[in-house]
Amino acid sequence: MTTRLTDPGALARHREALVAAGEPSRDAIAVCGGTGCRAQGAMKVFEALQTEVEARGVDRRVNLRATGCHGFCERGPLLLLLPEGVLYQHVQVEDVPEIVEKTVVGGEAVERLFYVDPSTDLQHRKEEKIPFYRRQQRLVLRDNGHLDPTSIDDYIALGGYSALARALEMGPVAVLEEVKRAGLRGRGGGGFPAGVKWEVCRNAPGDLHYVVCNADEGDPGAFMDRSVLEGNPHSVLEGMTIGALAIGARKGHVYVRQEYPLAVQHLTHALEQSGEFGLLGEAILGSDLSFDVQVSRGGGAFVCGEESAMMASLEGCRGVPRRRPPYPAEHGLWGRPTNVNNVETWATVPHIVLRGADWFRSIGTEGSKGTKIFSLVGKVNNTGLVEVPMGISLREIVFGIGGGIPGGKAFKAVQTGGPSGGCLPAEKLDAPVDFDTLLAEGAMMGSGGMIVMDEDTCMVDMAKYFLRFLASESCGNCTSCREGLLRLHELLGDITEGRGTRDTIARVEEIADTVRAASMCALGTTAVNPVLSTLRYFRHEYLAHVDGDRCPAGVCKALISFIIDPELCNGCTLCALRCPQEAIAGEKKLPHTIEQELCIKCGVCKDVCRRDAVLVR
Amino acid sequence: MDVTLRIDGGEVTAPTGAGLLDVARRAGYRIPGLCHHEGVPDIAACRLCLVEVRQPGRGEPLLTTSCNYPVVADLDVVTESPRIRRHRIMNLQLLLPYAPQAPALQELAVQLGVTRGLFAPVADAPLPGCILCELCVRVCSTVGYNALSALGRGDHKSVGPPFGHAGATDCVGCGSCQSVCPTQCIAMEDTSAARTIWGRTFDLFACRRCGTPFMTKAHRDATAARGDLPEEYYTLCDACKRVVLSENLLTAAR
Repeated sequence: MTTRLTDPGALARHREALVAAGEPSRDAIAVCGGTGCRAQGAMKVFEALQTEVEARGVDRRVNLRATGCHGFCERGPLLLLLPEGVLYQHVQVEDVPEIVEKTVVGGEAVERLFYVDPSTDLQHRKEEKIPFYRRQQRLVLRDNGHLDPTSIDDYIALGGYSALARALEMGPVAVLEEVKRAGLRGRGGGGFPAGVKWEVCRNAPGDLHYVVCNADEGDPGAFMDRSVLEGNPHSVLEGMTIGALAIGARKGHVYVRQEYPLAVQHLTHALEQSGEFGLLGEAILGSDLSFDVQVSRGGGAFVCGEESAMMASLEGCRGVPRRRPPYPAEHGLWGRPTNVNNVETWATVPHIVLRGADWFRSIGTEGSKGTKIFSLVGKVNNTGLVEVPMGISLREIVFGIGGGIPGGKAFKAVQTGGPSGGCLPAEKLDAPVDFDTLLAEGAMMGSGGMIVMDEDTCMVDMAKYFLRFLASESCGNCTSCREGLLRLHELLGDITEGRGTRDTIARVEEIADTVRAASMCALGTTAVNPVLSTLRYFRHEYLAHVDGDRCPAGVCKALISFIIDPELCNGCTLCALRCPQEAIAGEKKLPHTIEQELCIKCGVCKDVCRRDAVLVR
Repeated sequence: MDVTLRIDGGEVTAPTGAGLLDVARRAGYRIPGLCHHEGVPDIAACRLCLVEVRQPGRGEPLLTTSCNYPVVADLDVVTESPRIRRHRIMNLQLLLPYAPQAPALQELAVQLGVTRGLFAPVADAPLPGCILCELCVRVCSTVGYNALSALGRGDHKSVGPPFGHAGATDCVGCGSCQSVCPTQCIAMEDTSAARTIWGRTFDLFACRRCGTPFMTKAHRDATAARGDLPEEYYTLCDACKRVVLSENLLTAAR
């Protein structure tokens, strides 16, 4: 049944009816349906739960729903019991009968599925007590684990679209002022004050203004925007509609990656629903605001996350950046004033409108207000999606929330800001995470990628990896970016393969200088950050490669050799059996040796040795 | 509306919004550049026309390409500085391996004092000699055929018929691309009856007055179909066009 909400009162009544029916607070099992948990079999668990509750005839006792990403991907598939907030982790299909028997029928918990903190051995029953969650401040992600992203009623019941109703009451100018005063800075990477951009766009002459949501999240390992779109698409639409009101736009576009099928599906579904409810389209909530949103899918070019390239792509052209100014706010999509913000920025807007600029300003630092979502990946115990207040230290994120480095290894660096971000060393772990500090330290906020590296990461090899990515993903327009990145990649190849000298490093710096200074768009001007930041903080590693023909992390094959420690080797022959080159010789129960000429440095011997007798030199 | 700006200390007047490179070159300043042509939109690909500009009220001078920089009043432009020179030289070094023999690049090398290339010549380029300035693509689009396109991206970018097809299906063989190419790397071969370019061979059309083949039939047909040009334009060769034009003038004068 479709309910067209013809005025804000109707929205409020609809919400009251939903809450009275107990819809969101009813005993619910929220299965994380985020991409991470899905990959670990969450939907099989969900289906098994459905079958089991029906079979047991208790399907009316529990509200079973697949939600968006809960964030704690490391421990997926996750199950959240509502309203208590009890968390089951690593749930498998085999666990389902017990969950239904004990929890749904019996009303008690399955304790063996609780999270146990490996550092303290403490068992945590509730999600909010787990250090991973306790140290976060979840604002944009608040409802991700609670609502069914395909249900507009879930969103409304949890307070959704009340910010839009409030905005309509406030009027465009007051909304604009509120967002400006909140100090909301763009979450897509640039960190430009959103309210200021809105105002320029609003004041730009023209009969047609656009608002655009940039959901072309291309950073390897980043899934912030993906998770918001998949898990709470209406929050993005509500933010965009409020923006359209403030800016005076009648048309919106979401540019989302083709590689995010679930995000596209949930967003498209949300669009249909909000249209039916009168929350998009003509006369929204009975007001004179009319606004429509169209979804366009990107073809997978990283550069299309750059806003001018994204707009070119939206127009059907090659995704190539153009010179700015003129900025999109004045001359954007099809030459019209266009306001571009990313997913997270749009999803933050309803919170600001509803709770006010003062409240928002109370979170964060002087220059960076509010919260920021990071995808915490790499060599960290608690891989996942985290939302933290600006100003939190890197240490708190990596160790407090992330639980530190696996396997007792030492922390080496954290790369913030995606492939063109910078690597910060252990000395910088206490730096506050905000736009300005990260930039000053040679890294950047970017859109929120955070890759943790341990002692086994070679920083030269890592910089080379990102250069390869960017050399392939540059649009290829500017000589400095296209050819410069190609040459830098070659030169780092020389260093990692033992052909480098100090002159190679000097040449790298010379080329990087031109790539940064002479390229047109942000892809080029930031592309050399991984090289420059590693040269700044890990120069000794570069020097070890070129002076000592040594890779301190033991990664660069040309510079390492595998040897067997005769003291430790007990001659079990396991390595010799597994060596693809038959390069390992030795008598049974006597120390073995590796024939260096035959060795291809694949490392299988090291992996299989139970006595850690294979050493990398 | 005209504005006054300063280039290397000298005052120059130009229409507001005009491209800085054009403005500076017309005023006699020498700024290098391989991808600019007054007749087509700029994309600032080669990064050789770098200059430093300082806008009134703005702090640090900004390093920018001049071809696509629209002039504004009171702009303060510097066309030579150690920083400009350093980056121009590096950009030239980065292009040299693709067309080491091209006179345009050799000339620039002399101008910038580059005596030795940093990188070995590239042997396996998809279009040998191409420096990816995209002038061919832009001129083809400007003359209205859109038969060429940039292909791919990053360090595997190239130019050619869209989607890398073997022959340029929308090409009429006008040769505009070949004439603007700064490295002359586009192969165009004319025999007495046919022209071969971009993997296709076109019949040539002979001047109706002197019988010399001068444009392709496809180009003539496409031009005729535009309907906005006098017939002499696409039926007479350049030499005969002049003769006929002067005859017409003489007739009119009598």
